[in-house]
Amino acid sequence: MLLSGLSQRLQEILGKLRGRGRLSQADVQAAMREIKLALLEADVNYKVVKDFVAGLQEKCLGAEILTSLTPGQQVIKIVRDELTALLGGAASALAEADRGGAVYMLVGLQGAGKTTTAVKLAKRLQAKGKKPLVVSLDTHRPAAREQLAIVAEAAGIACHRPQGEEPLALARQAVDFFAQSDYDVLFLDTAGRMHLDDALMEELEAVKALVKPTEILLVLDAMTGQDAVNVAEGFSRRGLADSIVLTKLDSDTRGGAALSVRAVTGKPIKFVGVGEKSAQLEVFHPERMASQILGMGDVLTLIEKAEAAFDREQAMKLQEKLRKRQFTLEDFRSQLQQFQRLGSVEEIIGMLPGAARLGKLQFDEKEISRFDAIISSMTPAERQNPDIINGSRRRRIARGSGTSIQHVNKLLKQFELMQKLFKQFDAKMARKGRFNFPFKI
Amino acid sequence: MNLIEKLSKGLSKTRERMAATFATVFGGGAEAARELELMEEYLLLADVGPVATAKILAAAAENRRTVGLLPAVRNELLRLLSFNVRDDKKVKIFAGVNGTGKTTTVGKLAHFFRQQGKNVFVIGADTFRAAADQQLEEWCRRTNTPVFAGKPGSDPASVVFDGLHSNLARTADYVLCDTAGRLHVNKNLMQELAKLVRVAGKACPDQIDVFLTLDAGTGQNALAQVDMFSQWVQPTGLVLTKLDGTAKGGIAVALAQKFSIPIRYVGLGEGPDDLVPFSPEAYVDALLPQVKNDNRRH
Ligand SMILES: Nc1nc2c(ncn2[C@@H]2O[C@H](COP(=O)(O)OP(=O)(O)OP(=O)(O)O)[C@@H](O)[C@H]2O)c(=O)[nH]1
Ligand SMILES: [Mg+2]
Repeated sequence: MLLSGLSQRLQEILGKLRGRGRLSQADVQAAMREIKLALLEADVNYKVVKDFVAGLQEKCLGAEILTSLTPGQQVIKIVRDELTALLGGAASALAEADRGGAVYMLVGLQGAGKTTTAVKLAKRLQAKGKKPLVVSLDTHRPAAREQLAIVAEAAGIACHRPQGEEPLALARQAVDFFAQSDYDVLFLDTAGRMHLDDALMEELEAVKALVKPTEILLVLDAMTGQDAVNVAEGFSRRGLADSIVLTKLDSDTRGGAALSVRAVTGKPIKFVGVGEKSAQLEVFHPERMASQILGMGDVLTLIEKAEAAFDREQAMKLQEKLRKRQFTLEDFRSQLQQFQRLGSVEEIIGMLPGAARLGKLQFDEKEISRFDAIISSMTPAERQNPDIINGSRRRRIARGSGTSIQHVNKLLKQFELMQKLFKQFDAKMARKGRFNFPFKI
Repeated sequence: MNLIEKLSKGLSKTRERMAATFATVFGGGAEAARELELMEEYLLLADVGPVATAKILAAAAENRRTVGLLPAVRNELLRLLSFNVRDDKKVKIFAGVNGTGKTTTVGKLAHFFRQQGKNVFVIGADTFRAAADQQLEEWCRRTNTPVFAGKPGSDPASVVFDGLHSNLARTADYVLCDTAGRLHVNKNLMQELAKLVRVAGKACPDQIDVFLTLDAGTGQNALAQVDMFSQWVQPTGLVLTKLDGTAKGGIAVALAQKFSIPIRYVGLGEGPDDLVPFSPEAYVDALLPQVKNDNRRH
């Protein structure tokens, strides 16, 4: 969920600072402890965390607290910006060949997802008008070459199968065939290997020397833990990693390995695998990865979604009402309906500044329709002024809406919380003379 | 090579590097705080994770005064990892996320049991991944084990049903069942697995082990994996693969602590012999730094 965990804890630590303009040393230190923990839970390498937090501390000390954000969010923003910077600049494409066809090698540990990724990349280039060819050099794992052939065929990608049981000989045949053909991109799938297996690493070096690849992609499982730095270092030290592909990001991993490999190798992360199908490969987005590592989900995507789905007119009216303190249950309901259009409500609520402090303010889709039913069973007077809803009215509403008194109580409690939240904004914004609606509108 | 040697060899690479730092601190009676800090770092770098690490250090705090920090932590780890594993079930189903080593483990375990003179039968219920059947068949050819691999695209639960009702299954001492890799967040695939296990349980009541296969390189996400798999099937054990690399598989400690799920086998390479039953002593000794002059008491 968005702004869960870390955000909530930072909010608690820094919540008291609202009146002050700057973060003090003690505040920052307390915040850094939480950030360190969050990064470790996300599997960022311990040593990388230590360096990162040390650098971060300076950035946060004395940072001005922006009026539009709470101090907790301010720190998160700094952390996220720093993480994004560390994870790399704008998304980059595959290297282009100087002349002739481009040759890409996929390398990595056993089970990382090289074969699937080879076909996904080929498919991607094919969609851009290229003529890709895939060849497996994996003589090691039983049926590895069959796997590539089948996956390639299913994706409509050409696969060449040289004869033999020796990777170097296969590689030679592959590049010869490629040179004679009218394919213009060659993907070489290699056997998975441990970076400390000298014999197998030397074999890769020999293949590299022979085929002179345009780019070597190190394929890494996004669920990898602390060992990611050793793997990345092992391959990159031997010149066997020019860029990185992270796989299995469709799991719920926080993906701290991304940060680790970046920090250790300095090599760009170019693509991420998000499913088993050949189309499920995406360009790497550093800012999204940063949010994910912090456990904040895909903030940017949600903001985009929110911007697209939010009704501008209604939002303006809502602002007006908030200013006049006329936020009623009716408004609450229309808010919830808007949220519903955005997909997961929980995530959207998380985007409201200060939402972490609300703690319990979480709804699922079922709850929203329940709330809807409850509000429909109220009289106009009740909707306008919920204070009058006493015990007997609650019973009546529960019966009318087919829910229970607990449900009615919960709704009223959450409405109250939301009202409180908006009042805070209202007061703050009145001081500043402007009102920043949670979503950009 | 015996088990301890094999395990230690697998884990020794990173350990050597760390042990150098450690010897100066633990051997030399350095300040308590520094010692604790180093141990914390050590456990975190092994993927034990912040939560479990804190708990282990807290639990070790008491004994530390009498036996020293390293032995205290060692004892706590042994306590966490010593499972009371009951008698083996006949049918073992291997499940887990993609690429963790399920198929290879089935191949290696078949070899392991066959070396003990057992009758083994293998069922290939990965009908999804390309060439999964051929991979498994090749493993079984190597180890001379009868195998029934389902046709690509067929229903995995039906494959298991047919396999378990065959004569080969009836006469076997062990039936090992390979399944397709699946992410724990994929509800459809988890339902599919639950159905497969249910069908197996009907065919062979009380005879089912579900072993989650876990790559030793996995980080904290393994907690989510076990959590989710446990909601759909009841895993009875864990196989920790790829301990022959630099990854230490410390996440297994966190899993033991949170779920009490026993580790059953350990994978140490890609050859048929590279699988050993889990031994807490060997694992913990391979995990922790070895210091010559520590005053460990048994
Ligand atoms: N070094 C090493 N490699 C292993 C070990 N166990 C499995 N592997 C390798 O890891 C890769 C993946 O193993 P598989 O057995 O195909 O994994 P899987 O879980 O069946 O994979 P899917 O069916 O695709 O989900 C192969 O290259 C294996 O040889 C191990 O203990 N050590
Ligand atoms: Mg398999």
